[in-house]
Amino acid sequence: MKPRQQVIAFAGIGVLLFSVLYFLAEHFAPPYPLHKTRLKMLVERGDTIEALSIGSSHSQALRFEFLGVDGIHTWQAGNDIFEMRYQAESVLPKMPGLKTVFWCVSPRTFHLDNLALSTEDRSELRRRYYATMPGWKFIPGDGRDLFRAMLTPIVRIDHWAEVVMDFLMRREPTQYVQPGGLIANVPEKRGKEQEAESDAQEEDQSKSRYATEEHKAYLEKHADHRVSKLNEQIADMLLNRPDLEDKAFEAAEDIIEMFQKRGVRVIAYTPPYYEKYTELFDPALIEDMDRKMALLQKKYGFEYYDMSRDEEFIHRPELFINSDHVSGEGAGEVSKKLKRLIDAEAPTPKGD
Amino acid sequence: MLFNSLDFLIFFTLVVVVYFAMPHRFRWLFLLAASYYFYMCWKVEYIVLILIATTIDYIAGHFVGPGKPFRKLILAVSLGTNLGILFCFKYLNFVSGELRALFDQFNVFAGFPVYHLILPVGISFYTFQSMSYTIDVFRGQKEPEKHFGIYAVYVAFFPQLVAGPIERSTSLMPQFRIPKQFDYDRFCSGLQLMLWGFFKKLVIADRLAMYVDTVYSNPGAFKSAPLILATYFFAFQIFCDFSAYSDIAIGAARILGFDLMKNFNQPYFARSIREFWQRWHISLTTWFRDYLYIPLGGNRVVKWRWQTNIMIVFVLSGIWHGANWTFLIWGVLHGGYLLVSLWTRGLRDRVVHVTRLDRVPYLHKMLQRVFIFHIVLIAWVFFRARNLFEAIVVFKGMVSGVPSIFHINVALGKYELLIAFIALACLEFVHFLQHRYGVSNVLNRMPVALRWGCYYATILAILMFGQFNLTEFIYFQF
Repeated sequence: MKPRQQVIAFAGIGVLLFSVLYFLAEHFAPPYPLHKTRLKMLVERGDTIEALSIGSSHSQALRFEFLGVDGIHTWQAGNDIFEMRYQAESVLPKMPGLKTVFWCVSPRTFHLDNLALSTEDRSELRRRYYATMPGWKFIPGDGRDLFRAMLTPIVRIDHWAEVVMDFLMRREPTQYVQPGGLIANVPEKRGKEQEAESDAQEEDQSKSRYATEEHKAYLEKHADHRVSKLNEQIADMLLNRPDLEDKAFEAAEDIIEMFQKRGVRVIAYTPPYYEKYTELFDPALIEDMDRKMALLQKKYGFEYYDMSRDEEFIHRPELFINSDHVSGEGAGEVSKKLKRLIDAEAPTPKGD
Repeated sequence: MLFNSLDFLIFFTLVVVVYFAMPHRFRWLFLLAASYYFYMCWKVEYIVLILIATTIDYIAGHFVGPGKPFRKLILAVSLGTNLGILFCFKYLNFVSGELRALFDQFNVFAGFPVYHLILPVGISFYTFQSMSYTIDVFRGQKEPEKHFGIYAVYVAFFPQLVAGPIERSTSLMPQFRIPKQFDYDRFCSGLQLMLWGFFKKLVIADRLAMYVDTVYSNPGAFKSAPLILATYFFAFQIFCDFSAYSDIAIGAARILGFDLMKNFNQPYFARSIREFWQRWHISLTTWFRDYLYIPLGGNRVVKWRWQTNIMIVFVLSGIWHGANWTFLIWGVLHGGYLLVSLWTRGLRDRVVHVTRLDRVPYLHKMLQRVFIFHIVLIAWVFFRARNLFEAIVVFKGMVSGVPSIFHINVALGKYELLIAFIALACLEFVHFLQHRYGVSNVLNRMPVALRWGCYYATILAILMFGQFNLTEFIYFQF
């Protein structure tokens, strides 16, 4: 064979081999199964889903069953606003029936860019997005993660352990996605009755677990650790990306415009945080969030409910699993309150 | 820009295409631009240091040749500038800190300054390469280079800029003048080397690094087996990491039509410390031999001077790696090993004769290799530990308790450990082939299907089992 023929043949066989492995991996143990399942659910029910929740893991504070709407969550832990915009862009065309979007805003929302963090590699988050929501679009400056995401079934973080194990042992998945799109852990597949009974038990246990002095001490400690880490991360990100705040604000504007253009009602909210968390958080960042949300509200006229300092929640340790995430019980109460606020059409007086 | 990044693959592909597409007379300019871009991807400002070293040595080169007036003075200025830059960025804070600690002992609180300088990547490599040129010209072994551009490419040639091999002006510089055509065989052979380099770095070195880093970042928390295994792993990690860089550099240069010197030759197969240093980081060893050991008199002096020369070379070799007492001890240990091996030669020969090991040469060689590997391993503890105290903690931890294989999976899960051991077995198998037959020979004699099978297997092993979290090469810090 001539050199040119050799190159073509080598590349051709390589592509074939690669495709076979790709198929095997996708068949036996596709990467990010939970997130893919969530997206699949969204696509299947795209015509009927009325509400969408976007934001970071703080969005767990929202429970659609308490709001009385058929909705789905798309958040992933550690989301920055650029990822939220990417999510929104990706899922919006798949949801013709969408009426309302719930956008979870945190004091860190306008100061976070996972790509700009030099102390820790968060590119896996980005790859997860691209792998879960396939396409050619990517967050500016993030082409390499899009490319790596395309290779995800082959270049796997588990180094093929899952594929081998699932193939050899026919293992059952140990996690599932709840109807609302929330991800939960379950030990094994269970019958409905067992599930209900066990859920009730778990809720009782969690209530008693969270209503202790020990848990209160944990929340204080967690707030201290969490806020100092966040402050370090934010400082690092701002140093690495000086235009971060401006770009984040632009991304927020894009998100709102995108939904409003489609006639989707935008409801922004900030969930409650345990009192110590807000107390330790840089007041300048909180003020900045207040100012920016007021600006956005003024410009786009959407609803915004800020419960971050709501006395009804912030002093009650039993409502929090940690200092910045509400518990199941907390999510119920927050969602009920949000529903009351929406129904009353009484947004908090911001941006006036 | 790291070799083990997507950016480099794109960059290198573009460089190869453009390089061969452009006329020979512009290639030096293109290579220079590509090399500076490659370096500036890491930190733009520090390109100034390369420019300073390049300019000073280029000018000095014209005035240090045999018969030139004040040539010794000019050489001293040139070497002083290079070593001065190296000292400022690499050793100043260490010296300052140690002096401060020393003065503090006597309650003299002198205000030694601390500078927050980031060590420029590859500074030890390109300053040594640049210095070798002026010394070669001084000795009359090389004509001064007239073309500033060619000299600048020689100093900054991107494949070997940040971690060697440290090339010689007599070998590399003339290659920039020779017109080159794209050569398919060189292309294949270069890719083979690069592929093997990526395998060693991504599958072996970076996987072992996870274990080693966990254990060595807190050695006091571990006892016995994990510390022993981490030290063994480090020996392979540093070999795979550094030799991978050299392989990728040599492979990349080969594709572009350049021949770089071999930097590693299966060092853990060495049967003596002397042989180890003929096989490990060959370009640095020969640099020290040619520009330090021989000028000091080498072995053509009285015995005590000769042995002192050996020790000086090893101490400086240790310090070359970094400003830390651990590197110094590492150098002293290797120097000590060599001296002891010289002193005990007769005794060892007698022991071999008495035990009749000389009648079983295979066993004799194997025992020698095992012994040399383990004394090198002891020295690696100092090389890897963050300070002397932690090195001692590692040694103490190693001998406390009975090693058990049930306690080894501290940082890597069983599956990851299994991959690590299989990859190490592959490494040793390839070394065995290289040792016996030469890997290139074996590959070239294989039927195409089998050869391609090997390539595909390596590519897939890299993709499936590689660690893609973009860790730097260890020798970047030197």
